[in-house]
Amino acid sequence: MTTTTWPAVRVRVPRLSASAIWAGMRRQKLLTIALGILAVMIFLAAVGPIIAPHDPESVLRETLLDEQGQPILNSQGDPRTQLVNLRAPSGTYWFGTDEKALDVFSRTISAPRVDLVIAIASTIIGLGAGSVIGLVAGYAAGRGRLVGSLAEVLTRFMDIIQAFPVFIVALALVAVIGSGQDKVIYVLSFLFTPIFFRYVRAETLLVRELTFVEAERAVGNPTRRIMFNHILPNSVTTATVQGSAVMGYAILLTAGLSFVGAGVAPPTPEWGAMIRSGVELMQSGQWWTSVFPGITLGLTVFSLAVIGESIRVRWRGSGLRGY
Amino acid sequence: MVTETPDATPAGSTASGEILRVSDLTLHHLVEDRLVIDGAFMSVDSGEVLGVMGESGSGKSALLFGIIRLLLREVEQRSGRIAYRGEDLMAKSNRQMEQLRGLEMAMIVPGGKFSLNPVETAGSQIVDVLRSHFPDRSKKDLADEAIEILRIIGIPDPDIRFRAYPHELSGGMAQRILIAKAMACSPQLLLGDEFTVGLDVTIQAQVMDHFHALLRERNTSLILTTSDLGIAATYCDTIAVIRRGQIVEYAPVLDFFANPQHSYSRLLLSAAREARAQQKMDEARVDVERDTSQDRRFVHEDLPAPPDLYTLVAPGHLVRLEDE
Amino acid sequence: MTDEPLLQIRNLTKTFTVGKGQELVAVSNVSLDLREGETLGLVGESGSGKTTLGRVVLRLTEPDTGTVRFEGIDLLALAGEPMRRMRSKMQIVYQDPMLGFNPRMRVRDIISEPLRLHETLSRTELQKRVMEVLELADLDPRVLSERPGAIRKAEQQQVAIARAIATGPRFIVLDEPTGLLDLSVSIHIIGILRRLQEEQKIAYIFISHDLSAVRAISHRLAIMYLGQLVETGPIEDVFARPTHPYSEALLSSVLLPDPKTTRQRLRLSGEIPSPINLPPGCPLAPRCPLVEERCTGGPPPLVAIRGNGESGQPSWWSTCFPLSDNEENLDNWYAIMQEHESTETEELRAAIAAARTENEG
Repeated sequence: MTTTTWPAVRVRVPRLSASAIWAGMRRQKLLTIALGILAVMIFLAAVGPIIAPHDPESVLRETLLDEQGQPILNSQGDPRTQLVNLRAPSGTYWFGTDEKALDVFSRTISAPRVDLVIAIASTIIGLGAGSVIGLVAGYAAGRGRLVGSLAEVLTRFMDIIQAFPVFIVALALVAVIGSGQDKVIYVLSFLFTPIFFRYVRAETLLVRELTFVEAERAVGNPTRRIMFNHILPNSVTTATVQGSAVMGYAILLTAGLSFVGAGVAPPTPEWGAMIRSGVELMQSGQWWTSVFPGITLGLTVFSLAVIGESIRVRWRGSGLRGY
Repeated sequence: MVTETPDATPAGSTASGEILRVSDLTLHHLVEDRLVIDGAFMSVDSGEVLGVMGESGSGKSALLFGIIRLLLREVEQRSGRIAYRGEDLMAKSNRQMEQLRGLEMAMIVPGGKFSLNPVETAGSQIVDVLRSHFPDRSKKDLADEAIEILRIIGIPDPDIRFRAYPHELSGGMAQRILIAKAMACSPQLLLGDEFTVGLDVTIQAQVMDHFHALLRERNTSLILTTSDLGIAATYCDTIAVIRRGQIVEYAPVLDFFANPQHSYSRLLLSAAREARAQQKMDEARVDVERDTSQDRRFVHEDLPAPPDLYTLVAPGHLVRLEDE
Repeated sequence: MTDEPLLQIRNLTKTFTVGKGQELVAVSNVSLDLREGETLGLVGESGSGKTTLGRVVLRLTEPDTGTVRFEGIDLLALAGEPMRRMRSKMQIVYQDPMLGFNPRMRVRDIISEPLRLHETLSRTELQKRVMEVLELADLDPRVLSERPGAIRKAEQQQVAIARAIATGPRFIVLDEPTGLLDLSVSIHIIGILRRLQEEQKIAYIFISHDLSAVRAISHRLAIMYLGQLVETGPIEDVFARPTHPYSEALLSSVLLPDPKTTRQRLRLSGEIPSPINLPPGCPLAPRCPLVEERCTGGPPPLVAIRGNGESGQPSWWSTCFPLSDNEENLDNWYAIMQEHESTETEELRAAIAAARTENEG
């Protein structure tokens, strides 16, 4: 233990005030933009289908008009209609309509409810499951025959999950349990568990050796409480920091699954499925069906990546490691 | 070039052996916005051991770094004159200072093996020091000298230790290597920053007894920071007590322990007195009267202290005025 | 008052396996008693096993052999919940208090944690108890809402003490509680500990290598060297007339805060060897100036310096072969030890001068 008394540099933690936040935003433009995009996406996930100008899931029809602008009626006296297939972007249909006569704009802003919910739910479930299993495996590692080997088995099982290409495993799982929003959440949660598991296990292995854990035992904490109240809060940080990046990954995976038809099926609005539906049309010049959802998807993943990176940078050097 | 300090006493009475003279040294920490060192002064003779005593955060380490001119980026020097053998250190370029460090003055750092380069052997770290100052000498020559230094510093089997890596050394041995590194080029002035902290008591006594005898033998000066009254009393000739960056008392060691003047010094000593009273009862252990005839050698008559802040209570014994 | 000591440690041994077939005997066959309200100073240098002994006694690590009886109960036989309950009566304070705190907790949670674990208290009762404990530890209530990193080092140690005494323990292992503190602060902490002991009859095991701190607080002294207890006895007696050569070497190495006197030191050769795979015999043998052939043969005998205390242990004893010959005539023994002592200068100067002439020659 060194007792050198060269004056230590004390880092002042600035208080959070409106002006400080404003200054921070000006300094970190990219992060501000990313947070803005994410805020918009979360807003859309909440109210997208409600504020959409057209119903995202039902086909659009237009009443046929004669030369005088009067509706043409059929024999029953009802107005005759036609499907609004593949209209280019216009004042009425901002992003145009797709080949199934659905409004691309309404679908694009309704999709976050599917994509973002899948991403957030699967990340949270994966983080929760990965943390608990990682905590148990890390705490039990090398202790006694039975618990120790149980921890070993858990760790190897996680290795096996991660040994296969994620997308292939996802496809296989969807093939077994079926598709749909809830199924995709299960599959992704399962796939993300090992990611968080690794971080939490590694941190737990470090934290469990710290003196304070012994101190908590010495005051009479039962093992369960030592694990969940004392070790876990100090070992989930690294995993949590990865959350944002994993969420971006989740969106890409969901879109990918839907793109190959294994995720969320039309007519449910979903970016991957929308991109897929327009792929062939790109060649014939009807670009809008794929491009608008593609851009939105790209922006969302980008913003999550920027936020994730910025959290990682900020977190480095704080917490237990600097201790 | 000789820099005359304005408060120097008339010619003729200056100590002939003076090697270092510091006056009005003030260091300011920019981030914390406080004075780490506030108007420090000292005068060190050849062969003198000056003990800078203070608690953690008092600025005693900063004082050493200020003298050898190795300041943190956050620390600026506000004022001060540092004269080494009459030469003004403040006027020297960084290049000149680099030459001076190691050759003329060197720092002994604490931390044992953690302060040594882990991937280099103990011997080659000493050879490195030698080579940087004597680039013309042969490798063999330098290695021989390094082994000799290890022997003199009191390291058993110096040829074997020469090839040892820091992790193979015990704490006491590693600290001796650090001392050897500082003494490699036989500098005239050593600056030791609490370098026995963390050593076990028997090892500390071994290292310090030997080191102290060596200093006497070579007439080398040492400025030693410590918070241990035992070290101060046993190995120092002069004591400077520092608190919150200010020297509050500066006195020959016998005077200081017999007649501390500043309330802070008294506070420090009262704890020790109590311990000493207990130890008087240790009848089985023979405490020997020490030969103190030599201790009068280092009484500074002309300390460069501002007279409006300090009172002279005895020859070489200054006390800072206390604000009520 | 019962005759049985509060804590009875018998033949405790703890070995760590390091690497292949390498054995580190951290604690070797240690027996000790601790009475109610008593402080046992446990001193030794690095690698002496004093910290491990403290942890084994609290069952924070499991010993290989030996027994620990606390209030007559065999601690090592307790498992799970009964052991956990027992922890309200035995506590530990670390050298660096920060290392003993969960970095996510505030002072209030740190202090109330043991109360929550061992007692069922309402919110107001808990608050009241925390305030009481705070006062006992001489702490300002303002620290409660702070994070431990934001308060002074001394206050951190006071928080650690407050947490340790919260459930009214019978004994506390103090593992170098003043090791990182400045002298004046360390005196303050020792003052608090002494007052608590007087008020609550808590027994302490005070582990330290700071001999003056040990002397300021302990009633008895136990000196360890490489895992073994070499001497145990009443503090003032051992300080004044240590009988084991290691005790003498250790105590005579303490530097006196007095420039006029110096000490005859019993000098040990070399440095503390690695505690891995120790040879049989006295652990001090390779360094001891009084070493004899038999010292390396087997474990040194236990020599009772002063009478048999209760529960079969002498109140002052030491383990040394040459000492056992002089058991009847201690003055003779002290004279023998003194012959091997020296003050600092003569010998060392001679050695240095020799080195110098060799260099020149």
